[in-house]
Amino acid sequence: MIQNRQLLLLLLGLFCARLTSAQDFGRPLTQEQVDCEERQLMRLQHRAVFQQKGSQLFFWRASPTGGAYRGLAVAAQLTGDNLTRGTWERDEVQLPFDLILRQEDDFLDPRRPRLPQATLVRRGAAGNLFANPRDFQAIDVQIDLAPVVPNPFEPRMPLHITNNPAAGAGQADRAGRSLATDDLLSACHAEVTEFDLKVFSLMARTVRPSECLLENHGCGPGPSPLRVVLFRGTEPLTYRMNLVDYGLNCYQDDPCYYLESTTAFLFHLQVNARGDLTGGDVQALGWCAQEGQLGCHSVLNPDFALFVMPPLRPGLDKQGPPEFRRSAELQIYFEGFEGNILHDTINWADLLRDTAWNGGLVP
Amino acid sequence: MHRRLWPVVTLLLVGALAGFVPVLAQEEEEELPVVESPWDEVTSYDDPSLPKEDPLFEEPLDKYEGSEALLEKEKDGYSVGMDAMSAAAAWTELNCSQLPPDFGVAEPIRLAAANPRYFSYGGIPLLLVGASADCGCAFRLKEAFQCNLNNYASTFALNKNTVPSLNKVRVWVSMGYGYANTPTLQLQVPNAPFEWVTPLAGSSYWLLDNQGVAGTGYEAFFARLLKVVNAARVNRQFVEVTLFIPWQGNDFLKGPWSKTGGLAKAAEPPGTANLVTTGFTSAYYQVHKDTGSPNAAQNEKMRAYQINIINWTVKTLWCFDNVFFEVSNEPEAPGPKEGGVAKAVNPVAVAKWQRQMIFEIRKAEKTWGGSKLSYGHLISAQPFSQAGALALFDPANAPATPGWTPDPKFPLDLQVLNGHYTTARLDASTFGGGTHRLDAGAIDLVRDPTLNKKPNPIASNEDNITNIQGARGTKHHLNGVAVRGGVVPIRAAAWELLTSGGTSYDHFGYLLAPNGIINATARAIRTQLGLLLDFYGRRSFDLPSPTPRLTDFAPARVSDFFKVDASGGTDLGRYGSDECRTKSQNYWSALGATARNPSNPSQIVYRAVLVYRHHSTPRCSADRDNLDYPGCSNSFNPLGSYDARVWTVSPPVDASCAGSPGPAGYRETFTLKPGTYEVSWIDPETTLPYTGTPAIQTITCSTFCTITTPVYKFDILLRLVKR
Repeated sequence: MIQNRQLLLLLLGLFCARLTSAQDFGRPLTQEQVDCEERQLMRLQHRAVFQQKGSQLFFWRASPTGGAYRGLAVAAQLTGDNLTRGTWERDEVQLPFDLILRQEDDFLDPRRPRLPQATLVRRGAAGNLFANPRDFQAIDVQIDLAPVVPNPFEPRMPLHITNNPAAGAGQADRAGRSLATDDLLSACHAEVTEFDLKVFSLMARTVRPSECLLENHGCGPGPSPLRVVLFRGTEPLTYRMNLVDYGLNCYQDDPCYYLESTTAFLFHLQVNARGDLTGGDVQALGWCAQEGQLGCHSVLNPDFALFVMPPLRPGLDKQGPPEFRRSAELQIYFEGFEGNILHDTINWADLLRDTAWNGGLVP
Repeated sequence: MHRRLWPVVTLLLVGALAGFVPVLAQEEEEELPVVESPWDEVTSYDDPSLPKEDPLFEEPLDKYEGSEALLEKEKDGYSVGMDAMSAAAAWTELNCSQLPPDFGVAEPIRLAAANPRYFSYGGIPLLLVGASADCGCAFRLKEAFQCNLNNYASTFALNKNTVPSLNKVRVWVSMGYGYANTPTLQLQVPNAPFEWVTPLAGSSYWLLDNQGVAGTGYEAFFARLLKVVNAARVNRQFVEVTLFIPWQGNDFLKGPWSKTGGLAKAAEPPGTANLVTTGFTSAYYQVHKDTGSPNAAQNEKMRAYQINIINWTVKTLWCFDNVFFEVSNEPEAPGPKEGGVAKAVNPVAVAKWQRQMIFEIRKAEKTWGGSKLSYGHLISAQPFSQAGALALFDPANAPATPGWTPDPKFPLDLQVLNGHYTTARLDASTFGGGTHRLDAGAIDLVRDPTLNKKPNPIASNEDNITNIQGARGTKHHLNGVAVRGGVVPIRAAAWELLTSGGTSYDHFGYLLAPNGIINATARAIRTQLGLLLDFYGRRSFDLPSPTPRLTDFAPARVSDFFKVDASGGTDLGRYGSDECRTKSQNYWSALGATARNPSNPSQIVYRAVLVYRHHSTPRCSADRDNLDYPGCSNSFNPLGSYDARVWTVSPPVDASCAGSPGPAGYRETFTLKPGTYEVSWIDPETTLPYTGTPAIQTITCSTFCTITTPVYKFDILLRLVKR
C-alpha cells in the first residue's frame, strides 16, 4: 500500500515536471527590459486615438521579434447608477487588429527612400462589424505616423481603420520615419510566448476601467477615452498594464491643449497543472515621485474603478450585475485617500468558467 | 522509509520551483468566498414583510463636530413661513470704525442648529439665493454689464426688488493680476488693494505694507469696499466677500503680486524705511506653500501681504452680520502659462493654504472685532476637485497655529462648501509635476455621497453666465435650435442643486445688457431664482399643514414612494441616462420631509417628497456647440452648466429612437408603491400647478399604481404627499 502511494507520488511528480517543462511561461526579465518595453509601448500608444466617450484601445507586442503589435479597440459602455450596483451593465463592441511594422519596404524603386512601413489591419472575424452603427457602435481607430505628435486628435500621417464592413475600411498602410525614430521596430526582449499572447488577449477582453461606476464619484459629463498597454513584468506570470487617460482640454478662450496621464498596474497570475488560469491578483502601483518615472501613476486623482470581468466577445456583448459581482474591483480616487482600494484578488477560474479560454492555454 | 521518499520529495521540490508554487496557491484561491454586495439589500425594499416606511427616508447627516458658537437655534416663537429677511428691513449702513454707542454686538449669519446644512439669521433658518452681476463691484471696470463702481447700488437693488426678492450677492477683494479697462498701468491702480506710490524719482510701485489710497476720481480701496457692502446691506443682501482671486485680471506681471513684474515693494525688514522689490516668483505660490523651491523664503515672505489683505478686509467688515468670507475664487483652476503651459496646483496643497488663511481670518476677527463680535463669520471655500473638497475637511490639513489659544467662537475649520458650474472636467498639468483632473462642479459636490452627508451648507456661487454668448455664457436648445445666454439652464442647475441638499445658489451672471440697461433676461433669471427661494425657503413647497420646517428637508431616498425594480432602481430612470428621442439626458433629484403632529411629534402625519426632473445634456465644447448627441464626441465645455433640451413641438422623427417622434415635450409614467398620495405637478417656471393639472390629485394605490406627467417642456416638479 505504501509502495503504491510512493509510486503514485512519483508518477504525479514526473507528470507535473513534464507539464512544467512543456508549459512556457517565459523567463524572468530584467527591470531594464521591462522599462524598455514600457517606454516603447507608451510611445506607440501616444500616437493612437479612438475618440469616443468611454472607448478603450489596447496594445501589446505580438511576437518575440520587434515591430509586431496587436490591439483591441473596445467601444465600451459601462453604465448604471454608480451608487446602485444592481443597475450596472456592460455592453460593448470590439475590433481586434494587428499592427505590423517593417524596417524598410518598397526597396525596388530607386526614386523612393527606403522608409519604415506600417500596416494596420483589423481582424474582422473576431470583431463586431456594422454597416450602420448606432450610438456607440462605431469604432474608428487612427494611429499617427508623423515625426512628432503633439496632439493625436489632429493626425498628420494617420493610419485609419473602422469597423465598417465596407472594402478598405479595415486596413491601412503607409510609410513613416517615426517608426524608426521612436524605436518601435526593435524588440526590448524576446520573451513573448504563446502563453503571453493569450494572456494579453484575455486581459484586453476582461479588464475594464470605468469612471462612471466609481462609487462615491461618478463621471460628470461622461467618461474619457482610454488607451491601455499590456506587457510582461519581471517575473514569469506577472504582467504590467498602463492605463492612459487622454483628451483635449479647452479652457476658457485659450487654444485647446492635449494632455494624457498614466495609471499603472501589476497582475500576478496563477495557473494549474494544465496551464489554465486559476487565480491571481491585481494591484495598482504607487504614485510617481518624479517626472519621467516608470511604473507609477502620473495623475494625482485617477478617479476610476477597474474591473476584471468575465470576458465579452463578439456574440456575447452584454453583461449585468451578476458578472459585476464575480469581478475583481479596484477603486482609485486620489493619492492618499483612505477610500482607495488598490489591490484585489482575481478568481480567473470563475471568470473563465464558461469559456474555452482555459482549455486553450496549453500549447 | 524516509530514505525511500527522498526522490519523490526532491521531484516535488523541483516541480514547485519550476512552477508548482502558483498551483498550490491556487487551491486556496479557488475557495474564495463570493462577496455579497449591498444591492441585494436594496431590492428587498419591496418585500411585503418589511416595514413600508423606509427608516432612512431622509438621508442622515454626519454628526456636527464644528463650533457650537456657529450654530443658532430657532428663536422663541419661530414658526414655519417666518422670513429671516424680515429682520433685514431694519438693516442700515455700518462703519466698523465708528460704531454707534448702541451697537451692541455683531451676530453674523450662521448655521441652523436643527440642521447645519441651512443658514440661520435672527433665529430663523434660511436659504441663500441670489444673483451677482460678476463680483468686481468695488472695481473700476469698463464692463457696464458687470457690477462695478458705477452701478453696484442699482445691481443690488435689482436683487431686492425682484419679486420674490433675492437675498445674496458676492463681492471680490484682491485680484492676482493687474486689471483695468485698458492695459494702461495707471488705470489698474484703483483695482488693487495696495497703495500705489509715485515717487519723485524712479518708477512707481505698489507698497504692499499699505492699503490702497484715494486717487483722482476714486476713493481709497477699502472705503469703496465698505460702501459696496453697505449698499448690499441696505438692499437686504447677504454678502459673500471673496478675499483672493488669484487668476483674475489682465496680466500677473502687471499686478501687485509678481516678483518678475517688479511693481511691488515692501519694507525689509518690516517697519523700516528700506523698501525692496518683492513678489511671488511664480503666480502659483499665491495658493500654496512653497516648501522646496530655491525661492521658498521669498515666496513665504509674501504671506505677510496676503495677511494684510485679510486684516484690512476684516477690519473694514467685521461688524457686518450680513457678511461671510470666502477664502479664494477658484484657487484650484489653471493659472498663467509658465514655460508655455498653464498649470494648476495640487488640490491638497491648495486646501492646506486655504485652511491656513482661515486661521488668519480668525486672528483678524479677534483682533478687530474683539468682544463686539460674538463669534466668527462663516467661511467658505471653493474646490474644483473631490480631492480638494475632502482635503478641506481633513484634520490632517489643519493649519499651523503658533501662539494661538483655541477659541470655540473662532473655529479654524470650514463651514460652507462652494462649487462652481454644474460639472467640472479639465485635465491639468500639476505645478511641480504630473497631472490631475478638476473633477468637481457644484452638482458633482452635492451628489458626492460623502460630502452630501457633511453638516455644512453646499452652495453654488458661480456658473455659466446669462446674457452673454460663447463658452462662458449659458446655452440651451429650444426645439433643436441653440439659444445662447438664456435662463432655463440656470433654473435647472439651481433647482437640482437645492433639491439635492444644497442650500445656497448664487448665479454668476452679467445681468445688465451691454448698454447698462437692465434687460428682460436679467429680470427673468432673477425672477426664476426668486421663485425658487420663495417656494422652498418661505413657502415650504406649499405643503399642507402641519408644514415641515425648512430644516426638516433633506435629500430623500425615493424607495419609500416609488416601486423599486429588481435592479434597485425605479422608473424615475437612471440619473444622466440618454434619451434618444429628445436628444437629452434625464436628470432628477429628490428632497423629502416628514410632517409630524405638533402636539405629538412622534406621530407622523405625512411624508412628502419633491422630485425635480429636467432633461438636459452636459455642455459640448465650443467647436461642437450644436445638437450633438450623445456625448459631444467626448468633447465637453470643461466648466459647464447644463444645456437644457426644451421641446414645445415634437422632436424630428428619428427611426432609431424608441417612441419617435412622440409628444411635443416630455411625458412620463412613474409607478408608486401602495399608499394614499396627494399628487401635484408643479411648473418650476411659475411654482404653480402645471397648466391643465389639478393643484392636488388624491389617489389611493392598493397595489402598485402609475401616475403620468403632463406634457412638459423640459423640467417639472412632482410633489407627493403620502399619508
